[in-house]
Amino acid sequence: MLRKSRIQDHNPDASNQTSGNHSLQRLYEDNVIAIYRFIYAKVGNREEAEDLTSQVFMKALRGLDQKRDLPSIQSWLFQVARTVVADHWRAFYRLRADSLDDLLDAGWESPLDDAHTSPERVEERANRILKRLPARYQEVLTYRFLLNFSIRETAEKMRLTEANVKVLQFRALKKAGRIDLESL
Amino acid sequence: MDPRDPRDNNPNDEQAPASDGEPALDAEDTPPATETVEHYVGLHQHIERLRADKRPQAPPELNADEARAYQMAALLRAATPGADLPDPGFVAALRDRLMRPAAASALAGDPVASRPKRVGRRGLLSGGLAAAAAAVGVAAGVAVERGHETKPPATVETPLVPPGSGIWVSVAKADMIPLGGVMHFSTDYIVGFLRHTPTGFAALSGVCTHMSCFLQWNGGTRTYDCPCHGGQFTETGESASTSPIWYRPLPQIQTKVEDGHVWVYVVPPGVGSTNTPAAGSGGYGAPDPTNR
Repeated sequence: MLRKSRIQDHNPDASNQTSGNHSLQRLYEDNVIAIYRFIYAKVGNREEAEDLTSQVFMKALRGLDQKRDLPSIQSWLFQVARTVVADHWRAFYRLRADSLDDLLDAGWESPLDDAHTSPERVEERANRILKRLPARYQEVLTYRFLLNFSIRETAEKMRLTEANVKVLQFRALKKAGRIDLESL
Repeated sequence: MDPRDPRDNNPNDEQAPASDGEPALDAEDTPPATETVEHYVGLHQHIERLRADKRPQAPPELNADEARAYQMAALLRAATPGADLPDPGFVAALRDRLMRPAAASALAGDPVASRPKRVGRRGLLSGGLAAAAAAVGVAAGVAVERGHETKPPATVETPLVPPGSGIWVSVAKADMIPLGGVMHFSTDYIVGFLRHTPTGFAALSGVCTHMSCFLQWNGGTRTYDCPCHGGQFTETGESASTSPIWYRPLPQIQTKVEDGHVWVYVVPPGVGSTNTPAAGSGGYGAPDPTNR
C-alpha cells in the first residue's frame, strides 16, 4: 500500500539544490499522510496531529543531509515520528518518568510496520479491543467514538445519566488500555 | 492537591451522582477506591476536545494506567470514520514550507513555528500534488477544484465515476454493516461512505463539495459533517438545512453486492497519477463533471 521512497544521492551544494528538493518532495508526498495518521492515532486530534506532523518533517529536513543512502528512509521517518510523539507526551502530559518507562516497556513505542499506518489497521485494532470488553463498555465506547455521539445522546441511548456515562467511559477506556497492553 | 481523599470516596456516589432511580452501571464495574470525580471529568473533557479536533488541556499527572486510558481515547478517536484524514490545506501548506529553502532553514531552528497556516484549497491542489498524493496509494486528502462555482450545479444523480471509466473494488463484507449503518471506506483514489439502506447499499463521496475537506459521519445527527466550515450533509448526500450555505450534493458512487461483498465503482489505479481528465474528476472530490 505504501510505497517505499528512495532518497536520491545528492550533494548539499547549490548545484544540486534541485535534486535535493526533489528528494524531499518525494519523501514528503510519499509519507505525509501515513505519518499524519500514525500521529493522529497517538494524539486523537487534528491540532496536535498537524503540529507534530510538521515537526517530524522539519526534523527530517534537517537530518536529510546525513541520511543519504538510507536502506529505508521510511523507517527512519517513522522513528523520527515516534520520538516526536514521545517527547510530546512527556512534556504535555507530564508523565512521571516511571510512567513513561512503563509505557515504553509495554510496547507503546513499538516498532512500527506499515500496517500500523493504514486506516484499516487502526480500525482493526480498535475493534479487536472493543470486542474483548464487557458489553456495556463496548457500547459506551462505540457510541462515543465510532458513532461520535455526544454525552447526552449516549446517555439517552444507554438509559443512563450523563454522569453515569462519564464514569462508564472512564472505566471502559482504562479496561481497554489493559486489554491493549495484554495483546502487545 | 486532590480535593477528595480517594479512601473516603464512596463509589456509589461516584457512579451515579444525582441519579437516584437510574439504572445501575454494570456489576463488573467494580469501582476502584482510587477513582474520583476529577478522574471522570478530566477524561471526559479530554474526549470532548478530541471530538472537536482541538488540542486538549494538559491533564494532571497521570500514572501509566491512566495514561493508557488517554491513549485509548486517541486511538478510538482515530477510528472514528473519517477523523484521521489530514486536511488537504494543511498537507499543501506544509509542503510549501518544506520546499521553500529559506523558510525551511529559518524554521529548522524554531520547531514551535512549524505550525502551518491554513490556506484555501482553490487552485492550490490542481495538478502535481493531486497526482502525487494519489501516487502515495492511500486515501489522500486532495481534491481538484476547478472553479466549479461558476458551473451549473451537478444533480445528485451524477455518479462520481461515470460508467465505463472505472473499476469495481470490494470495500466491505455485506454482513459487516447493519441496516441503517454507515461505514467509511477508502480506495486508492476515492474516499467515501457506504450505507446500508432498506433498498440495499449506497455510497457517496466523502469529500465536502465546498472546499474539499474530508467529511466525518456524525451518528447522532445522522449527517456528514465538515470540520472546516461547519457544513453538513444529510445521509443521502444533500446539503443539510443546518449548513451555513447551500452546498452541492455529494456525488454518488455506484455500488453492487457480489460474493457477499459490497463493491464500489471507482477510478482505476494508474489513472490518478497521470493527471488526465478522469484523474481530475475521479480523485477526491472534483465533484462537478461539467468541469471536464
